[in-house]
Amino acid sequence: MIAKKKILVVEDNTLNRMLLCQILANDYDVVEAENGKQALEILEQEGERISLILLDIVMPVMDGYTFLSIVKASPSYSLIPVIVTTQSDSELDEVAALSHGAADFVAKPYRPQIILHRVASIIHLRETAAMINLIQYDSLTGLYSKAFFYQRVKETLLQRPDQEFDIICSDIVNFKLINDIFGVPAGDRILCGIADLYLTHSGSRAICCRFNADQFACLLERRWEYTDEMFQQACAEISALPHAKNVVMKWGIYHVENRNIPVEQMCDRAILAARTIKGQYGKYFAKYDDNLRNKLLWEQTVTNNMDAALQEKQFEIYLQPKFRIKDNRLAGAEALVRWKHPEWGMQSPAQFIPLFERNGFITKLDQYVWDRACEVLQDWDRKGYPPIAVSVNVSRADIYNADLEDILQRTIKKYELPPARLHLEITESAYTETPKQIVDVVGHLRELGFIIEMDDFGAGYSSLNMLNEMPVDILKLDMKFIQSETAKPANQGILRFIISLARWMSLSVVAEGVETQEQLERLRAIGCDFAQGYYIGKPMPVKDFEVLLQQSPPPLDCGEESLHRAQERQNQILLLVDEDAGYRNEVRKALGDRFQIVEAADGRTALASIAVYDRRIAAAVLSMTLPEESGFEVLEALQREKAFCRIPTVATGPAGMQLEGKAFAAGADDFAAKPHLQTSLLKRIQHVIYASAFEEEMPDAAPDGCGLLGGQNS
Amino acid sequence: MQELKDAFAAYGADYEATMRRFMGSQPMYLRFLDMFFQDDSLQKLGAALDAGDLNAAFEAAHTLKGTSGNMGLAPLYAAVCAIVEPLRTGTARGDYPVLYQVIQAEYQKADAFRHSLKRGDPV
Repeated sequence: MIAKKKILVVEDNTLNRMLLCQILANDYDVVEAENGKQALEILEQEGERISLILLDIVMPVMDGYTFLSIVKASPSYSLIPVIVTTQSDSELDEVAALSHGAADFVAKPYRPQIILHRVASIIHLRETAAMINLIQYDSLTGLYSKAFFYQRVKETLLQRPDQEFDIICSDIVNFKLINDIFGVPAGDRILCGIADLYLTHSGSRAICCRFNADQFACLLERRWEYTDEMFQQACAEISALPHAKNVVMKWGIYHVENRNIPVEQMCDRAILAARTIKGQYGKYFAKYDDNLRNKLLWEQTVTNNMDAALQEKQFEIYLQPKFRIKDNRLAGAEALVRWKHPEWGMQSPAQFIPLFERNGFITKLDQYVWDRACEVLQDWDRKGYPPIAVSVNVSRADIYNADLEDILQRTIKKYELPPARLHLEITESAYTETPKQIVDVVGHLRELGFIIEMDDFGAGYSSLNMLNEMPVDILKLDMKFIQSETAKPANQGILRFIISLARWMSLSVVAEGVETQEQLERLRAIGCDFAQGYYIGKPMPVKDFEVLLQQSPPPLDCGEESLHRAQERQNQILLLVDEDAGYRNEVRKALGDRFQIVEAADGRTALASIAVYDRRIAAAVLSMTLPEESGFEVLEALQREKAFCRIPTVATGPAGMQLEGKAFAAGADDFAAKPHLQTSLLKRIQHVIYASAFEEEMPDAAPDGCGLLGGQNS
Repeated sequence: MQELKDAFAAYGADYEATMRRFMGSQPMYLRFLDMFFQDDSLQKLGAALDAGDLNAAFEAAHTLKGTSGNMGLAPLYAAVCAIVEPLRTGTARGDYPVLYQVIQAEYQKADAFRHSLKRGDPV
């Protein structure tokens, strides 16, 4: 219910005043004053909440003219319109009132219809004029601002009741990513380009605005049926803008039927429609229609039922087994949720999980699943089955829950389980959204002993730099993101690359969504550790899984495997060749906890170490100023090794182009000029290791053309 | 209803225009009409004319004009209008007592009209 506008009636005669109030009472809130003095007091309290003043001129104490002069001279009240009530007996009165700043006059005896119309139109006029003070244009694109757009649309719909209109809103998918990759100025240029397209294509009668950051809205006369071709064409034009090649834009259309709903809501409906086709390739626009309305209604029904469903234990966990690929041994389970509704029957998680993620219920459901999973594990422990670990989902919303840690700890304590029995699956895209927070929260959980699995790896946009910082034990690779992989032999490198990357980072890899023999064989061939999927084991009720567990040899724990790996990682060797003992000392202090450091003061010792440690050497830091230039000899030796097993090398030495050039010519992967920060050395080492792993797996790819590599640290 | 209309016509007032001002509500009209007769503007006008205070006389007459107009008491309104104009300009005139007597007479007639309405009113 919209609050009524407030009108101040100033009139000394009780009868006239009360009559005026009666006339206005249905449509307005009315406050009364008997004379100018009282009216000023009321203005002081109410200020700009007064939309209009109705003023009698002939009054005792303070007459209408005096009051009018004071009001019009005051910066706070001068914008409030005043209508003077006169007794049509003198034109002079009217002229005097107008010249004192009255907006209009009405005559006594009152004619209610005329008064109401004048009041309404003066208020409207004033509000419209006040709009000019709104920020009219969006400073970036020059389109209308949102507030101004709303106002213009409202007016247009009022003024042209017989014309049909549509509101079209557009939304760019992942616009933040564009800003992130190409920088905000590039993103801004794209927005301006899109704004220009809107102006060119929507015609002179359309009203366009930038609705939100990367959303645009437009009011169009309804002239045609919308087709995919129209929007496809627009998309093509947008793609032609600089840096906009991968911009994906979705349009939502709201056909204006009910003009009484606020324009805001019309735009929201159009945006809602646009969102429904997010992620659907080849879909350019969606209309807000009965289907969508029904879907939203359905979602509302689900929302209304979900709490009761949880209480009535309508949600049930299913367990899907994981196996070690090399010997098909059971290696854990993932807990998945099913909803058995008494009337609707079995509901697919695909239907309700996205909704629960949006409405926040997912956190409750997740906690329920954690609890149920732990309860099952305790039951099995009591029955004397060999221990098995279960993965549960930790949604994005859970991460933001300050109690997450407490809840998880309480749950495992309640069922007397060590934390490592619970694997926490966190989707990769959550990591990319709020890297800092998530690294902190998840890092802490990992310290507490929970095993962390990164879900949907390969679907997000993690840079390798980030991956190294992330607290993760296991990568879960969804085959659906790499299914095109198996079909295209030319690109098979990516899967291999991910596996070797995981290997280097001491992470285990679980491939999920394995649905065919062929996929499984390929995973086996490239050395993937674990697999999960319909082909090898469907999600099953707890009872069925119990049978499987009883029939299987004692299960492995993929988490334990990755813990072993993490220890191995500590054992990776960094060969540090430098004539300066002080320098070696510094580097050892800084990097000793990341690598096992093998030192050499001269070329001969270095060569001996290479022979001894061989493939365990992850990288070398090599001084180019060793006695007798033996650094180059070592580099040559490392080069020779390259044919078989690459040892990436960061050359060091005093800054100077000549030495640097020689080092690169001799095959160094990077050059760190002394003196340098230890962190900068570490970054260089990490980069050369990544780069060499990458080259090994994808010899055809140009390393600097690959977004995965993040910034080149040179 | 018809009685009411007849009463208005007999008195010389415009039923439609007047009732519209009161949202067609007879009870409301009668309430306001009572309020009109509680107002002391007529007495003030007489006193001011006796004292020769033309300013005060104008204010009183002006109020009376406004209220009688709003009440749709056309004959009274016309009588008040006749005095308001000369008073507005502050013109000293000999016929003010006569004009005032006419107003008084019309005032009585209006009061009689009020009573006729009340008698006819089932409430």
